[in-house]
Amino acid sequence: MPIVSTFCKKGGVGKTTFIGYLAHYYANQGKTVLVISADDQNSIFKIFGCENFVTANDDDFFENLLIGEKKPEEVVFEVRPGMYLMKTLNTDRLSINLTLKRSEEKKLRALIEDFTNYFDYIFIDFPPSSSRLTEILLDISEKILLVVGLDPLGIDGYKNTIQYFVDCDIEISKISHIIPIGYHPIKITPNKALKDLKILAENYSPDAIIATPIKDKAVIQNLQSEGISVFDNHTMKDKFHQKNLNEISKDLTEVYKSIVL
Amino acid sequence: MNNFPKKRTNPFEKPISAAKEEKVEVVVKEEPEIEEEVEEIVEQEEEIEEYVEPTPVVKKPAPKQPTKPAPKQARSGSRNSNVYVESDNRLKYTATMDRELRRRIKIVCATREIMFSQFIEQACIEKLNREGDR
Repeated sequence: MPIVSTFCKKGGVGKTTFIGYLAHYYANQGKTVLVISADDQNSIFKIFGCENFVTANDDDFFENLLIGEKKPEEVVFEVRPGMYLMKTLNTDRLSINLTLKRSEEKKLRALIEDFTNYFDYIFIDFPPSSSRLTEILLDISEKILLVVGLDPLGIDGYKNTIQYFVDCDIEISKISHIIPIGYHPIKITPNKALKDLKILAENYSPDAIIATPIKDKAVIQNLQSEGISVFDNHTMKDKFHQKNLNEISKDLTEVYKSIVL
Repeated sequence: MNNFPKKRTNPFEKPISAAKEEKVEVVVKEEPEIEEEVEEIVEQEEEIEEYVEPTPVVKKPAPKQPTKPAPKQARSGSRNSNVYVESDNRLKYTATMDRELRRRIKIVCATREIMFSQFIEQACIEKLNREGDR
């Protein structure tokens, strides 16, 4: 069963949003999916309106499972039917442990491999920062979706990510898709950035497919603040926002259909 | 905050392969039950045919009570105040415009280096001059 990650060294490009909705898309199709939030901000819970799960208890984090304090079913949260999330407490500390104790790394790898027996898909949501945990999880991942913001800083983020892959000896061929986010048909900057990205991708990650660019929509932020997913069949208060929501859910569905995992 | 999920389930109870096999078995078992349901529905339909509908009772509309007009409320604030209060429900006036038209106008504005609102203003002046204040 595939382990899929979204990664980018630049923050705020939409990694969490993209993988969260991707997981929900597969859950809606009857698959059982798990999203491990390797980002200790755990913002994916907020997207699905379940931020209370993050703060409710202090002992149901992924780390508690890793040290054997808890069972897997005690650290997993069902946020939508068939969609489960896991939260992390402090990835920096976890990374120090993983660096100092090699046995921990084995345990982590075995744990995630065991998860593949229970879930159709395992998605890993990464923070923009990198650590030993990031290296291991990227190494475990079968496919990596690189999310790139369509602006000059976003393109720099792509270059930085490729550099990081080379430095840490992570296979660049694992990058199966590049997801450009923040497209606009008229604006000059996103169009120029997309052109630059295509040239860079040809040189540095030739195996990766550049997915259909995703448009920037403010309505998604409104939904996230209310904890409603794009695939929740939610009805907006006015026609204007409803039209935007329909457009974005249609665009995302098309992109997700094109990404074969 | 939404109400998801309503029921919390344990995904670690059974591996996926075992769960899928179970699902297949359940489908096979359900088949005879469906046939029974169909028979029941047929029986119910027969009963409905024998049922005699009661004569409809026509209700007379209630007499209208005279309503008093609501007293006029005193206007608050001065008449000449130009303070514009934006309501929460206000939509952008271009939001309802045809998308293609809006796109064309934006391109024209960009080439003429004017604001969208300036273009609209010019267009309105032109229309008024052409058609008069009818």
